[in-house]
Amino acid sequence: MDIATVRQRLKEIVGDQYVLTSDVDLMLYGYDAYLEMSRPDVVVVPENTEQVSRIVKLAYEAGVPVTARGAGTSLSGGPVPLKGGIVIHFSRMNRILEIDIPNKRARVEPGVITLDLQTAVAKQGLQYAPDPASQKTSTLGGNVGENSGGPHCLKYGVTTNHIMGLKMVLYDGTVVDTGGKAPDRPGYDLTGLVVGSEGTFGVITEITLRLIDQPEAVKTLLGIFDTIEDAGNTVSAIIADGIVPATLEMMDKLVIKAVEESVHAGYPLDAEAVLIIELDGLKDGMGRLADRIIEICRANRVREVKVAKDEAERNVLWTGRRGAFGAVSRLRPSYMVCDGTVPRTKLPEVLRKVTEIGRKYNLPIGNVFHAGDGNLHPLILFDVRDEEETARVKRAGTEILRLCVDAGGTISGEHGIGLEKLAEMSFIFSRDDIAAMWKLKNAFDPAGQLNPG
Amino acid sequence: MDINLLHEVLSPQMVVTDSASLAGFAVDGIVPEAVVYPISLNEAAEVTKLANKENWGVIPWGGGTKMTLGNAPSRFNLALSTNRLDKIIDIDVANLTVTAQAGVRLADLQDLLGGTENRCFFPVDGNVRKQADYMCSSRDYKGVFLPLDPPFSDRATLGGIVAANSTGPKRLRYGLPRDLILGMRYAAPTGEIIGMGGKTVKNVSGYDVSKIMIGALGTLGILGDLTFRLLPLPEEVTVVVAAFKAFDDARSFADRVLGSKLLPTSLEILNQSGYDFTGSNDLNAPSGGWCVAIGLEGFSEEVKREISDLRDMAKRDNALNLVDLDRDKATTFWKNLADCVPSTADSPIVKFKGSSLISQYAKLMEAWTAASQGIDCALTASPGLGLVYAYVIEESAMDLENVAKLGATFRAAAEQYGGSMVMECAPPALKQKLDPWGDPRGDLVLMRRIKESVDPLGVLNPGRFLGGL
Repeated sequence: MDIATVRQRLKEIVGDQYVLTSDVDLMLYGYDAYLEMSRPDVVVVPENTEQVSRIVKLAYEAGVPVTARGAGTSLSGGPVPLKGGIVIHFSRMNRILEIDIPNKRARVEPGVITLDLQTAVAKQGLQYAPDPASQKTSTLGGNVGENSGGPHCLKYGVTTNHIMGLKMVLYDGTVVDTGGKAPDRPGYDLTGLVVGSEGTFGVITEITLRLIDQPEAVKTLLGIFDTIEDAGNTVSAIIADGIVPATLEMMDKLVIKAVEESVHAGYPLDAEAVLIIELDGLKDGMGRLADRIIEICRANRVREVKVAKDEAERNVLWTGRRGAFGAVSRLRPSYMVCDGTVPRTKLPEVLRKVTEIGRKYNLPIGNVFHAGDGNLHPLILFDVRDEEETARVKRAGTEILRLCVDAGGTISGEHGIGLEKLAEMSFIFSRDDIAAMWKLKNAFDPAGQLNPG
Repeated sequence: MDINLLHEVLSPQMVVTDSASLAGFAVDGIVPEAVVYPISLNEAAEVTKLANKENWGVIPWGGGTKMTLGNAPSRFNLALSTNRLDKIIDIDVANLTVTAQAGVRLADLQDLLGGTENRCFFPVDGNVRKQADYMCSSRDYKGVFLPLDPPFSDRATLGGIVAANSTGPKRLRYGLPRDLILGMRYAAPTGEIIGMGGKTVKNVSGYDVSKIMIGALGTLGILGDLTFRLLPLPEEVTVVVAAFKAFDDARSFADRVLGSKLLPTSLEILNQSGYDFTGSNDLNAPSGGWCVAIGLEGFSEEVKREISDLRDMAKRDNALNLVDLDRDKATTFWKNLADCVPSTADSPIVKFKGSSLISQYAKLMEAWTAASQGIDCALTASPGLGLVYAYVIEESAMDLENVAKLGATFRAAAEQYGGSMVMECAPPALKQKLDPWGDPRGDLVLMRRIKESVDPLGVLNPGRFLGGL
């Protein structure tokens, strides 16, 4: 089947205006926040599961690859249609189908913006715990594809811990449901396997997720440190003391400066690192815990600890963290985020080495990350138009990932492997490990048509 | 089956074939031809490779506490015991992780984690067991624990717990093994050793293959090394137990607590026979009445406030009386409840596990109560999870026709209320009359394809899982 026929058949499925074929459209849907670009043959914007099923079936019959795409906020190249073909865009499948308060579940379409769901359930006193920093623009479908994290995973776990079920279109157009609203359906945990599979197992068209109660009380502290080692040691010391905060986030000097210039969160410009520590739960005993944390900070030579007195002050502290990537992007035309994860006791050592790598390649590197999880996000700043510099960035990125693996960690904490880290998979997986993954891929997608490459 | 082939990959004393020993490894009355005790994951992989070549049916065996679960095996040549895979590899208190082999008993691990003395253990590859080979983690840290409370915790092994994705009432707060596993190494049915995940809390590198191994009942591989996340030991531990005359009051109390901001670790509604399981005589429980047991763990101020709030709420729901038990009594209370059912196939007890939408658990309980009139049954439910456990404990009620009918009614109710029903413990004859798993759904197709892709000859745990996977 030639591409013109495919386009024509797609128009019959979704209607003319929802099949995009112009050069501009095809270019727009060919990249994400990583560095690779590629061009699909056609972009289609379906309205419901049935249309998705027909599109995938058509692609199967025509032998054309299919790539699903949410908001394109991915940082690893996951949604880039490397082999062309059909891109399914979920901007019309953006409905919150149901917020089921008595059963503490929500059913959503994959195009729902994460923050929109959070806002909708917050009105009912509930929360959806995963809170990726890109929540204003990222979609739940994308979060499921990449198994995204966020600051709150330290206590509440990542996306996969909150997904109860999926509706999914298989490679041949068959629609299956996995899991469900009730717990413990017997059988293999297909839901758990599909979450984080970057769209390579099936096209997700509906997500059932778990909602939890909002905590009674929240306390947010900001620790200001004169060395990054002291901040890193504080992180380990808090956990070692038997306290698991809801979040433990760290930012270094370069990021602090960028944030202050763009959003004015009140971070001191001469600090080497700040730590945002948030406790949540019952109000009883929280004062004592906060005091204990302040004590631990002091034992690790903190310069100052600020405690947010109210919701407004808390929001200011968080604005800085949430706006960090955006603020940094004002410093240079481009940035690349690495996503390595290390055991948290290795943080001080690894951060020091990241700085050395920056010096070695003559690249500015900022650090803003989930310290409690040991999930680093070194931001390498550069200019994508400078080819020589871009090459250095890729080499530095690889070296940082190598460093994480050598410290007992892994190459992706929450952004996914995508295209960025395909080569580095061999750092952590043996040939047998990768063969085991291929066996699963073949079980789901024998024709290899879903998000290939 | 040619036993000599096993001798080529294992030392002779690790291959057991005498009939007295084999009898202890019967599954639903089917006795294997040999039991093997690999001492490393490599050896376990050699055994699966051989099984795959010779087309033997292999059943992995941990503590043997869940062998009554599932269909009778379609074939069973070899039991693979994880008994000798009993080493603790790494306790990293600062990072709150533990890595241990699948044959380690949860209770042994828990003792080691919770102790305040040095946590010492043998390195994994060390065969020499002398003092100098101990590795010790720092004393600077407070005790930690692995937040799992499955049945028979003193016998259950980590591998068995993960294979069945099994835990207990504390799941309300701490989640399932699925939520606690960070990484694993296992032997594939075709003999490769596969490693997935690691020691970090967040890890999305590659497919999350561990997820499909957890709860797969050993049909996709032999679990070897398992890495879990840990939590610091709570400062305060207690259980609050309240007695009610009427079910509606107990239910109303449970719903009130779950609708509040309190953060109980567990919350169970028990009928009279369910409460008897706990062996507790601290509560003046009325005959034919109901109890609500609420586990509290946390900082002392939190727990104190929770007890006080619970007393007020219980009064509003006409509680007859209420006690809070100290740490030791609380531990015994939950342990007795978890271990209430003998785990052997010849026991006369039948255990059903029903699930429903959270808001429908009471209807599922009522459906059971209505259908089981006149039979002595224990009923325990976790309202916050949507789980209801029903136990037929009276031997005279063991007319299999009746029990099968009761189970079918319970299953229909569970499905009506959005869930499903699994028969967790039953004599083989009952399994002939009632499928332990129930009817599979459309996604069975995918499960079959996965099983066929990973274990093409179907050598691991043949026929025992859902739909004969």
